[in-house]
Amino acid sequence: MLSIAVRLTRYAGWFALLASSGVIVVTIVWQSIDGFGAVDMPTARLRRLFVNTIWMSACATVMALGLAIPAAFALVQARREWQRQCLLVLTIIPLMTMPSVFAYAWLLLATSSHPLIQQLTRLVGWNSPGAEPFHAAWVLATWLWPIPALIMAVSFKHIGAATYRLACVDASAVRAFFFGALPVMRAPLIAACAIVFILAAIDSTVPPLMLSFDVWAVEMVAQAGMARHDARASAHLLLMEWPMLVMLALFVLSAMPGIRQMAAWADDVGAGDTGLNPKTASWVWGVALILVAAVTVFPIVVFVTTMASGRYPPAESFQRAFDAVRSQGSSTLIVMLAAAACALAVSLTVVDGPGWPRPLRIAGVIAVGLVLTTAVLPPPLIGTALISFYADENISPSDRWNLYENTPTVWVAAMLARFVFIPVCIMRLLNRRVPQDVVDQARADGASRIQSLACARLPMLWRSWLAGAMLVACLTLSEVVASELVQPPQWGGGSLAVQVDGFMHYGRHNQTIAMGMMMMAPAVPAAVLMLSLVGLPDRRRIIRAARDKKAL
Amino acid sequence: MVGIAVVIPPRRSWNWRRACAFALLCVVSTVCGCKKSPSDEPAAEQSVVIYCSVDTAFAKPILDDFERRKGIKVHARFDTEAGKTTGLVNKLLVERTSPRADVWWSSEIFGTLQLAREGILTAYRPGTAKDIPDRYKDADGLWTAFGLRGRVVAYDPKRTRPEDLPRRWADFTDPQYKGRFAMADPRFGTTRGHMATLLSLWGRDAMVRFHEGLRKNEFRRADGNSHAVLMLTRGVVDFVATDTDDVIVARRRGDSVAMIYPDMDSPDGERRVSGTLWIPCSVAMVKGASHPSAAEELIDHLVSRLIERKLYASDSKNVPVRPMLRAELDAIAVGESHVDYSAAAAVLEQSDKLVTDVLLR
Repeated sequence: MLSIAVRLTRYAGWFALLASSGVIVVTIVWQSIDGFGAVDMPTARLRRLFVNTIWMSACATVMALGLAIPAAFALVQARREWQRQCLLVLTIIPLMTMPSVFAYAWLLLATSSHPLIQQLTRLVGWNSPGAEPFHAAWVLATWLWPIPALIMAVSFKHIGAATYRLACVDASAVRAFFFGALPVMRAPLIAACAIVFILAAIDSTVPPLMLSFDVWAVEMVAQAGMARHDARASAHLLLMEWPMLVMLALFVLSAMPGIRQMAAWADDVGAGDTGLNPKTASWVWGVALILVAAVTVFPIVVFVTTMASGRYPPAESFQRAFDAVRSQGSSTLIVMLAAAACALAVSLTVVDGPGWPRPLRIAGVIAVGLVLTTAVLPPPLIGTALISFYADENISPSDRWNLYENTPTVWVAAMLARFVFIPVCIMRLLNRRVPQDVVDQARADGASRIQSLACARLPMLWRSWLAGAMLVACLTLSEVVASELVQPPQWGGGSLAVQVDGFMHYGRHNQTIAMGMMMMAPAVPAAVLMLSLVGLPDRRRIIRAARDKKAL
Repeated sequence: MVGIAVVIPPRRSWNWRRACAFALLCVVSTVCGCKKSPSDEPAAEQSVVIYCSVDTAFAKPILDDFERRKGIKVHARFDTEAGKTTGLVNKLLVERTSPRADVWWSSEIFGTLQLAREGILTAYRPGTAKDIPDRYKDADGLWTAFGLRGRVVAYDPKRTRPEDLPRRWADFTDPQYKGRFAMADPRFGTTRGHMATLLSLWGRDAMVRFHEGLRKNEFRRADGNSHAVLMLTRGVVDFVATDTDDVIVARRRGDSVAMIYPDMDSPDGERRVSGTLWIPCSVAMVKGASHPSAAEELIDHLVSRLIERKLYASDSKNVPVRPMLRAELDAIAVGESHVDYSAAAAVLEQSDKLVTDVLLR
């Protein structure tokens, strides 16, 4: 019974994968074969957008690294488990929060009428002319820093700790970390930087709020609107995007050595050294913790203080915010759950093993390739390609198969195309962590391929499997651009994130502040739940328990 | 299967069976949440699809109110700040053969005129629009306009002296405004219509000189009108071209912002056009609408006196087009210039080309 369920889920996963990433890639290629159309934008302007985007993304990457290093240091030097867990929750929260929330908090700060704040912003030159790209970069960094922080913390456990201990013999803890541990972790660090750069380059929600408009991603949103009447809309966008896509592909390639190194750690289940140095002064850890906490809770502090001085009392503001987003809430929740369910199914399709037939293993590799390809595509291109396919009358002529207008299918497909790479990569990497002898024993006892997957692999993977799907749900809640483009005309009330993002463009307003807090609230329980699911000690205990029993 | 039991980990509060149950719950709730197509619904007329480029903050309460009053479900699709109006106009154009929208509610009129010219709209003369002047109604009943917003220059009175203020739009090519002026992307929204209006008034050569002058003066491009005002309040620029509602919203939140109504004289001074452009919202029925009677009810509601009154009372403060209502509310469209909207709409594409080739080069 269980193996039938797993088999059916895998079939559903293939269907979902083809209906999202597959459709996008095929549509773009199909429309491009017919020609790209003409780009009606001067080359000089395209060049300017390109340069601005590189500049902003590079600054965001450096700033994110600046925030991530102390966070990673605090993570690896936490003396107690609760300290580590608290820090991990604070680190995960920004990733689960809508980036516009951070941008809006900084916007409120920059336009504050409080004399002290005005003096401070003047002092640091926040509102000086031409600083807008730096503002956007900084906000992107405050959203994306957890990626390098977590990668660095994991890298430290596997390759940095030994060097760090040696360096600590004749150097201070901080010096040993910076000049001993960090250099040996350069491959994973480069991968982390590449990921941050890519995400910063394709984000089109933060730069407009920080008044930095001349960047590629923002222009592509506008172009997606103008290309709607074009029969080859996605090909047209692809033509405008290609320099950016080539650059992003180069960044993906540069990240590969680091990703391969991290994948190799998945084989090494016994590895992992906390690298805890008892000589590290507690104030160093404390300072790092304060920095991490300050960055994470900054929006809440700004929201609460601004709301307290606003025109409407907080209770009324929350009521008005709730009234404004009520109709969007239910449809967004359905899409979140659907995207999570599909992500579970898709990520199960990529799990294979040494004994599996070659065609299935090749199909798994193709599936990973598909999801990685669409993961780096900018959201306007994803939305445009999906609309081109699903709303085209030649493809979906009858009401019965009209998936775009009356169902959330296309919306879910867009979310999958954007975020399913997370659970897919998690499952792909952790699958290697499952001890092969356990699976071999199951096969030797007569279990089929699917039975061994259901009864030997899944019990060791389900926590990460769920955590990946939950991350997809959280990111779906925050997604703006693709959600706006593919919103079904006759289904539901639209996207919550689109609505909140729309309100944020009006500047300071208590109702919008309340909306921002409502969008940030789910990140806290989600981060706690995620940690409870993927806490490393638990998983290691399970694997060790399995090995011990096998040895017996 | 005997040996498999060995590897099952110690039980905890969650297990993998619960994970499967969770996945099943996700699937079931999604399936339950998916509605059938309207053609399957017993009361197919009880919903209406509206494409709306009016700002969500102003339009949504009005549409929610209509839902409550009439019991008709409104599926509203709004435009992004960046793609204001143009995105939805293009969407309507591409859906020409199988329209998905029933009603089109635009924050301006030029896109609506373009749609009327393209044959996307169908005639409907709302009964509630009888007291709207003919200038704001299509002779063939294809659209009805109401609720004016003016194109203004916003500035910070604390930073800018009165003698530094421009008198006409063309003054922004003057070197004294170099690096101090911003406006929303002129390929979208009311700024697009504004540029087309100036082109229709001044002619191509004068417009090219104006665009070149703005470019030389390093004008700053914003994502939308509200962003342009944010650029002003943040001190990035000293003057922004925007709509009256964005200035009023900024004032209500306590920002130091004032506005003036520049004349639309041509740069060389040959063509004198006193006053600024006031742009009405517009409503129309889409040809081939799936829910015509619900669409008619919604249009009747939107162009009614009640909505004009509500829009004037809101932060948007749209000035009514009904003379009686204007007098009653003591509302004035300051410096209103009576331009020919159709002439401007006729050169929209030409204006877009000039903007792309000269201004945004």
